[in-house]
Amino acid sequence: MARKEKKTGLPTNWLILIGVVCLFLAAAPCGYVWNKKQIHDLGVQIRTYETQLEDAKLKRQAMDRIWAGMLSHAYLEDQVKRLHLEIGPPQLDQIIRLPEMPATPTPQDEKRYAHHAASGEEGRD
Amino acid sequence: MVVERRHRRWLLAGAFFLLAGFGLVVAQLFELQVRRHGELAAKAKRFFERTYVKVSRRGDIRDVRGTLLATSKPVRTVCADPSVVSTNYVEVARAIAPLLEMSTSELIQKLHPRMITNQAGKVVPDKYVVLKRKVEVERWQEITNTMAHLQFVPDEKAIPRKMRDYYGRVRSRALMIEPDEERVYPNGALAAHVIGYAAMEERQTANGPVLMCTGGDGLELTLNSVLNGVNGWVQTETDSARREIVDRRDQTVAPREGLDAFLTIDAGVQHIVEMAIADAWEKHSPNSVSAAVIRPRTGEILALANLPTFNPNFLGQSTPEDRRNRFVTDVSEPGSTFKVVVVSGALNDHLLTLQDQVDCENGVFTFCGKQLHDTHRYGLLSVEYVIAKSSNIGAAKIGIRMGPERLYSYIRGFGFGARTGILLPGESPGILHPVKKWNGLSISRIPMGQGIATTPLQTLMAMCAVANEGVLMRPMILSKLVDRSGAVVVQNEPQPVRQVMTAAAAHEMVQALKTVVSTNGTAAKAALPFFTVAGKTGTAQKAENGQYASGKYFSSFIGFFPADAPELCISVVVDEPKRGHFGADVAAPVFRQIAERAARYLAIPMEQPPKQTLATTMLAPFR
Repeated sequence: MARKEKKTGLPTNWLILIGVVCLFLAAAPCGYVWNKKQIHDLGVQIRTYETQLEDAKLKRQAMDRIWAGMLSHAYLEDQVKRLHLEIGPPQLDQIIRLPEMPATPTPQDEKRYAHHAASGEEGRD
Repeated sequence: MVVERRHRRWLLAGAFFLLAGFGLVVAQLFELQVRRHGELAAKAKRFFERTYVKVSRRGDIRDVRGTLLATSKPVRTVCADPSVVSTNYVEVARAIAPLLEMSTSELIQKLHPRMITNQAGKVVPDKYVVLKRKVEVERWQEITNTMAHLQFVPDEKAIPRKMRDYYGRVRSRALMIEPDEERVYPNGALAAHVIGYAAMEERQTANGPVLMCTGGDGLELTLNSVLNGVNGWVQTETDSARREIVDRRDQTVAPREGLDAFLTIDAGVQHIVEMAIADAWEKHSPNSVSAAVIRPRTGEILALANLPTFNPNFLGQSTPEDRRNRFVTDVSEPGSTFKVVVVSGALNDHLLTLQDQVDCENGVFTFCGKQLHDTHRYGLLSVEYVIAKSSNIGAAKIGIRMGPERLYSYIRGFGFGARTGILLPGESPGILHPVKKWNGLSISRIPMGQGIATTPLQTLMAMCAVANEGVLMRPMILSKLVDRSGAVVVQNEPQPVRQVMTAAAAHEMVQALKTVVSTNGTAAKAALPFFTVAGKTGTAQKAENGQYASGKYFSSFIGFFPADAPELCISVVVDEPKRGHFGADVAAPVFRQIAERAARYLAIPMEQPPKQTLATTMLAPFR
């Protein structure tokens, strides 16, 4: 009798195997659907970002055009006249040019700088 | 179980029909899946697969300081499918007419369903009609909003579902758009002849026709290939509402955008020149005025303007005459400005010096049986004064002394009779006959700028060669080409063409040209307060029907400053001025106006510093 019971009962290994197979069969389509949904969501996200990027580009270009219009010499001159600002580029005799430092140091400069450098070192010591 | 014979027959018949039906299904499947697979697959593909062309953005045109001169704006072409609109065309037309700024009746006409004959000769419903081009993106969004809320019946919930779906289709599918581009010129007419204009052109591609911006004139035309980038595309699938299913995208090739062109033109100097020639236009009511500013050492063109002009934003309002870049395309006799060429040649060949005397025959010189006149009676004039007083007889005698071969060789050397190579379309080489075609008089007439036709640009470049120690430069208008990331793709460098004369001869010529702008010369009105100017006036009679027309002149002045270290060379040409006609009276004041303002704008260091004290200078504007 006991032997007969042993024969009819399914082995645990088989049960596990069947369970795993069932789980796999159930999980695979779910995973597939989840994966597809992820791809779809990413696609929607890409589309949203593309639209945002396109909008930002359009806005930047529009701003560029407005900026260019505001910088146009004809517009500025009109504004100066309209607002009675009475300003303009300086007359030639109003421009003062300051002498620039020579590009390459003269021997005198070198001496001067060397002296400054030396005194600086002394100070640090 | 024993089946009766009668029943067995029925069963067999049933089985036969079942098998036959099954066989038919299999045969049909074979037909659809195997034999007609290619055709049907393509048909199915057409329903959901789409290839969108991504049109590349045309590059901008900017001046030397980066000021935007020409740019592109994305716009939309609004189209409709009259077969979808069907009998609702009145409602649709009324709703969108104000947004498209069109009359309702015009829209009704366009949306009215009609039949057309297609390419295969079949009569089919018209499914495509263009309602309006160049519609702003924001305006299209308003249109889609309006269409989404359009009511066809008072209570849509009360009507059958089929009708509701139909109205939904009208709302979502009746109108569609095509991407388009509009060329915009933020500075309007500024440098219009240099920039030119661009127009839309339909181009056939593998994926159907695509609207593309194409240059029509000016730099828009000559730089068309670099301004236009390369189109990209997206191969993708769409749903029943024609919305893209992004995750089914097959190919995405981004467009390569066009390069930005940075010119040598300075918008500030260009504006100064345009203001000055507009003043001259008002004062002298000429046929046309042209002017250009160039850096003689490099050949960089800072400004080039013509009047009449046009606004490329409103091309339809201009005529071909307005759009002609006269400075580059028109030829005329240069007149006295050409004396610079003959005297330069003679100085270079050591035929004479500035101090040598030329007998100007008291204003009348007979050569080959024809008389040549000067405007004033001069006796002996030094070569320097032949230029300063612009003596025709003096120039003719110098030309005769040079001989035709040498004269011709110098004329060619200074670039006449050949295109300068400027990057603008329609440049004329001028008219210069070879020596063998010259008549006896030519040698006496060409030195004073008759019997030869040049463009104002050629004459300007020749003067620049004198200013630039005898080196003729190629005119330069394109500084660099830059890609979207700001990387410089092409950097143009100044190009010397040839050494026309020695630096010593050029210096001598500059000395002579300085006297022109002195009180002893013809163009005292061109003198500047803080700079020494060297230049030459020109007053050429206009030729009409093979003879000189009385009272019609080309007045010109070409000069450069500071004379000994030239920063700018300016040319002004006035065609047929009505009040005054001498170059000294008409063109020289325009030169002065441009030079003064340009020197201030570009902060060119003064040669002769002002005597005022710092305090008076600083306080001057506030007094």
